[in-house]
Amino acid sequence: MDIKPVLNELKTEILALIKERFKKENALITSEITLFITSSKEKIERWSILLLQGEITKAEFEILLQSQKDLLRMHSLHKAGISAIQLGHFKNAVLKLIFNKITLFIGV
Amino acid sequence: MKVHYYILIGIIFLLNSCASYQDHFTLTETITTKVMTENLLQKANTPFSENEATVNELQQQLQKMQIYENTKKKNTIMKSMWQLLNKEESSLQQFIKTWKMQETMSPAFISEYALQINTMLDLMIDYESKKEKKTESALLQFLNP
Repeated sequence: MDIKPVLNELKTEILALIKERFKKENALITSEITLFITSSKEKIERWSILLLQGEITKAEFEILLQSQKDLLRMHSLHKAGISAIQLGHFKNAVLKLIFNKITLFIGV
Repeated sequence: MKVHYYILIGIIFLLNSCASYQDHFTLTETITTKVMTENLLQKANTPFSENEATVNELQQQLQKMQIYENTKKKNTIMKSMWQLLNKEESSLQQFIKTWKMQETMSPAFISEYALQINTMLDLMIDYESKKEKKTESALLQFLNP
C-alpha cells in the first residue's frame, strides 16, 4: 500500500488552508492597528483639552495616558490569544482533513 | 495497517496537546470583576474614606484572580492580563492611589476612565469566552462525530 500520494494530497490541501487563513489574518491585524492609532490620537487630544479646561487634574490626566498604554497592551494580549484560539481551530481543520483522508485511504 | 493508526493517533494527540480550554470560573469571576470595577468607579466622586471597604474588596478580587491564573498551565495570556491590572504602575492601581490622595475624583475623569477600563475587562471576557470548551475538543469530536 503506497501512502505517498495521499501524503502529497494532504500537503497540498493543508498549504491551501494555511494560505487562506493567514491572508485574512494579515488584513484584519493591519486594519485594527490603524483604528487603534486613530482612536489613541483622538483620546489624547480630548484629555488634553479637559486638562487645560481644569475638568481633570494632572494626576488624572496621567492615569488616562497610562490607561491607553494598558489598553494597547491588553489589545496585544487579546490579539495574541485570539490568534492562538484560531490556530486551534485551524489545527482542528487540519485534523479533520487528515482523519478523512486516512480513513478513506485505509477503507475504514 | 496498524502503523497508519498509530501515525493518525499520534498526529491527533500532538495537535490537541497545545489546546487551552475555557475556564468557567475565570469567565464568571472576570465578569464579576468588571461589575465591581464599574460600581466602584461610579462612587469615585464621593470621598475615598467612605469607600475603603469596597476598594479593598476589589483589590482582593484582583489578587485572588492573579493567584488563581498563576496556578494554571498553558495560560500565559490570561496570566499576563491579570498581571497588567495588578501591577503598581497600572492605570487601575494608579486610579486607586490617586483617589486616596485626592479624596475625590472628577466626573470628567470618571466617565473617560470608565470607557478605558471597561474595554480592558471586555477584552478579557471576550478572550476567555472564545476559548474552546473542553467537552467540544477536537479529539472528542473525532471520537463522537
